Amino acid sequence: MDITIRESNDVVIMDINGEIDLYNAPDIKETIKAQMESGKTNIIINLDKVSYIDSSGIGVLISSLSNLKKAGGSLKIINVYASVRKVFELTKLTSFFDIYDSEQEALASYAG
Amino acid sequence: MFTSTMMFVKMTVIAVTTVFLLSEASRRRDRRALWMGLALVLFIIKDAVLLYLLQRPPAAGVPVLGEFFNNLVSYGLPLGLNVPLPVEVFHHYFLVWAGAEMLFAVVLQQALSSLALEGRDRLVQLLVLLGNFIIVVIFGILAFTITEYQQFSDMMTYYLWAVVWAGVQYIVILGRTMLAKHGDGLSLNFCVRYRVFLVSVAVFSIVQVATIILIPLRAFETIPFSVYAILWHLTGFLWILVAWLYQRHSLSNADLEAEGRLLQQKLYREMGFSVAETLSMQTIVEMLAKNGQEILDAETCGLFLVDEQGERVSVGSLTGFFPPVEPVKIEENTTPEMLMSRFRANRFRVGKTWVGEVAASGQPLEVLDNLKTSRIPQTGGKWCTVRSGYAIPLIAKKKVYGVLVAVNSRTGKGFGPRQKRLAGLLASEGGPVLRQLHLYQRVLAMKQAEREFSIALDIQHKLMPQTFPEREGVQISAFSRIAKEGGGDYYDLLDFGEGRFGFVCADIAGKGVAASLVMVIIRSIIRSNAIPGRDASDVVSIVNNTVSSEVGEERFASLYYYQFDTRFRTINYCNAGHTPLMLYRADHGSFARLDTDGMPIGIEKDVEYGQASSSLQPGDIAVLFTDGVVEAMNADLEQFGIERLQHCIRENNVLSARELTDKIYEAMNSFVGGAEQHDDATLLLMKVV
Repeated sequence: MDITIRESNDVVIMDINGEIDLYNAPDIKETIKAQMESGKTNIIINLDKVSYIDSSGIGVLISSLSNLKKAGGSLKIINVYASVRKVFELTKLTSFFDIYDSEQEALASYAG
Repeated sequence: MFTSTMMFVKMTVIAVTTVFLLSEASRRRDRRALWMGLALVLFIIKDAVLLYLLQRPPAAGVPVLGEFFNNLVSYGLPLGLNVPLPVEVFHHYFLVWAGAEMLFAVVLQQALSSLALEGRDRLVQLLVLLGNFIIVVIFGILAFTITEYQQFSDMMTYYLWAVVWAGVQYIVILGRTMLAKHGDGLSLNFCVRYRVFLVSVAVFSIVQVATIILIPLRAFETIPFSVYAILWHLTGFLWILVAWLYQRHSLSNADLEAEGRLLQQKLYREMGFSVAETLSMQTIVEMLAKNGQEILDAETCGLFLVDEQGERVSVGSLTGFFPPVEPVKIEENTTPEMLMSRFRANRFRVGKTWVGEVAASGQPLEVLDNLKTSRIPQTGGKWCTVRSGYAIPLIAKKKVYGVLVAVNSRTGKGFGPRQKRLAGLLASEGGPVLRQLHLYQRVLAMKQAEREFSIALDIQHKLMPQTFPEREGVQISAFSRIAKEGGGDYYDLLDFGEGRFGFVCADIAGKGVAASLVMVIIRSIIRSNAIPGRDASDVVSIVNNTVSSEVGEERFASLYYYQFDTRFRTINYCNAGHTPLMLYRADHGSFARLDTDGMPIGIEKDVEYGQASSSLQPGDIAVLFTDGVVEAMNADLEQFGIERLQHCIRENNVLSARELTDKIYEAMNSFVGGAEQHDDATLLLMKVV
């Protein structure tokens, strides 16, 4: 799993590539934590290139979302497809997370 | 006259040295000093006897020995080879004097060889002693059994063998001195320190021995006897000088040894406390750094640790402000504390930087004039200027486990030999301790992981019922295959009595003890709150609210809970983000999904959970399972899938719950084949009959 970080108008976009499981999920958490420490609390996670996510991965997304909310920020998720979407739907977490279909939409939600 | 004066001088020197040696030998119980002292006592006795004999006529009509001796000398060489020697002279002179001379030579050589042969050469030492003993015995026997002497040279033969033997010993000493390496022991350190002198003395002695052997062979007839006499006496003086030097050396070392023993005791005591108290690496590392600073009398001292792979060096402990080994950027607002905390977080490569080089080479490094050479980079900003430095590796089993580094000697004169020796002792004690701690921590971590894993597995197994009640109208069965690394699957069955049951199936995120504790929480909350008549959604809400407040957000769980009443065949269910219940309707031969709204438990409090009810018919089969069942994968990375599961249930729907469960388990296992599974697979099945 790789994480690439981009920025757009103070919003951090994390492109994740690969599978998210018990062993690498903490990396995502650490990356988000580091962003928060440098004052960035609006984060978009791009799951476009993610083929698999397990419960630990979901857990990390949940706890990061909660941490960001406490810090007055937000976590938005974009490009949730196929098996990853299935996991979100199965666990009925689609409404818990802010899921957007595209990066533009997610960024627009900050602008508005 | 020449001989007498020389002997007086020699005896005085020897007497002084002997008193000194013997007093030291008894004070410190030094075996070598005792041998040397004894040799010198014999030396004096021998010369005194000779002096006495020189003045006294051995028998009536026989010249005074002094005269006889002087005659010998004036005869020139070879030494009395064909001079007839009266038996009386032999008995008086040769037996007493030469015998004592022999004994002295043997004892002195014994002392000298024990000097050059450190403890581990015990065997060689024993052989030398045995050789000396045999020579003395043979010489004694021969001397007393021969009653008549015509030729002095007859006795010389035996004397010569002893001389050859002495020569062999001098050669051994010479070789040992030349090969001696520093640090092998007290006397070998001495050999190294005075190597040139000792080698010269040994060579000189070998030459002396050679002349004794060559004289009877008439090799150097033109050289006057006095030259030989000076040569022989000088050799004796040189060895006395060696003995005296050794004594001085061993004295300073003995003091160091005593100090070293104290340090060792202190270290053991302190390490013993740390080990007993916490067995923490940190405490011991701090203690080593602190002692290093005291011993080396340095302004600051650091202990650096080398990782298990021998690739990276990290900061173990610093006794104060320490100039970073690798330069750290210093800005205007940088405080020394900030600099230190950045340096502490730093890791550098073995082989790179001056400390890393010591870790790589395993050899101490001393820098005395850093202001000129800048061997150590000036990274301490305005807070520390490195003037001198000393780094010594902590080695165990030929592997460097750490580096003790002192910066700036407080005396300003650099680090003294005494300090370095004690630091070396500290390092040689510290290396094995660090190694032990490494091993211990590795074993501990492994044991911990193993234990945690087995505890988790144990909890998981014990929580899930293995037998099910047999009641009218319902058959219940289940299986749970727990993955090798353990997982978070959990099921439970509650028997409320009067044909009413509660069914729980959950999948907790994560693994290990933490996950199994969530299972315990879920189990106890459900068991204490699920009462007949209470809605399934209420039960799930209670579980969610408790778990949300007790457990971190990451530790959430999908949960399915349903209640079944066999009397009315009604089912009341609530799904918290779990795989929906799969219901086989016997009358249509089709499957229905029983699902409700609601996300997994443990994420947020006060989530609203939906619930629904339905009625079942005999032959209906309610199958609750975790994703591990349908996602079970074979070697071709195909999933078992919902279709295969449904097919298996449909084909075998007439079987009992137990038999059907076994069929599903078999089907899943034969599909997977030998492929290793990373997730638990759990299935809880109820059949209405």
